[in-house]
Amino acid sequence: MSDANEIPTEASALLAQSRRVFLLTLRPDGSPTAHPMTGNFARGRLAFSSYRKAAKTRNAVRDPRSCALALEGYAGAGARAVVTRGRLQLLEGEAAAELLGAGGAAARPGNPGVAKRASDRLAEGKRVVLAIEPAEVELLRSGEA
Amino acid sequence: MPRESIAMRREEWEDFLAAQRFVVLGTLEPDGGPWARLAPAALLAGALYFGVPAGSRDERNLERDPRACCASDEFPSYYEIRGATVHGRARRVSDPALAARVGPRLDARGLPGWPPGGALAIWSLPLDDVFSFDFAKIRNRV
Repeated sequence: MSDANEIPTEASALLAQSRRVFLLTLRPDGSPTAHPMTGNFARGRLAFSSYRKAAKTRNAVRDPRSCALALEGYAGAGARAVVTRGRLQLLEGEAAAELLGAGGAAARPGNPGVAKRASDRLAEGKRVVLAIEPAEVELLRSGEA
Repeated sequence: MPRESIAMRREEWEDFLAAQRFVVLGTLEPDGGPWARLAPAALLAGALYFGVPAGSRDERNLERDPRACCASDEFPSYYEIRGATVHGRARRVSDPALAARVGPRLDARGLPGWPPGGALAIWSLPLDDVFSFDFAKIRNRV
């Protein structure tokens, strides 16, 4: 486990490449929950687009302690994964759009209509960005504990 | 206008979970914050069973506070995204007969973060608090 100031290069590269990320937050009773998300790593932060009224957003506002597990892709578990722990920050408006844009989210292949609607919702304030500033980072490899 | 429900029906999420070989296991650290790890999993006998390396950080977390979750997802295309998260208080499987039945179904080979050949502790979650979604149920598409 590394602290945020020394994210191993391999872990950083995997975070930058990974889209399949499970975001873990705390429910009102303090129990953990996991949200399958599309992750976007930029400027040392792991960011997620979310509706303002979504449970994950409300969880993050109430208690920002979080964890995320990033996988290499959707074909099985892959050979590597990255776990990060840190506090979630809620970003809105330009700061949110800038962080998502910095990770190249807008340029990635996918459903252009969905991407545009998400961008519009962000501009309208219906969507926000949740960003983890990693305090701990661990790279997991197949065959290694 | 109320948001449309895209939750899976019980039989749908049961089929979905039954097809999963691994889950993302969420546990609670000593400070109360969440922690995540990949875990081999199998749905049978009305519960979701999962494995953790014996004596691992995950098992210590479960022994201290059994509140946990297990999540999985699929993303063939945007409108085929599905996912489910099972929440509850995890219980360690101590019945040898049940462990013998479940153990062979939990295959941790190749999972990132798993030592080859390490001892496996089997735990389970009940299926009475499951959140699910299926983007195929979205009607307002773009």
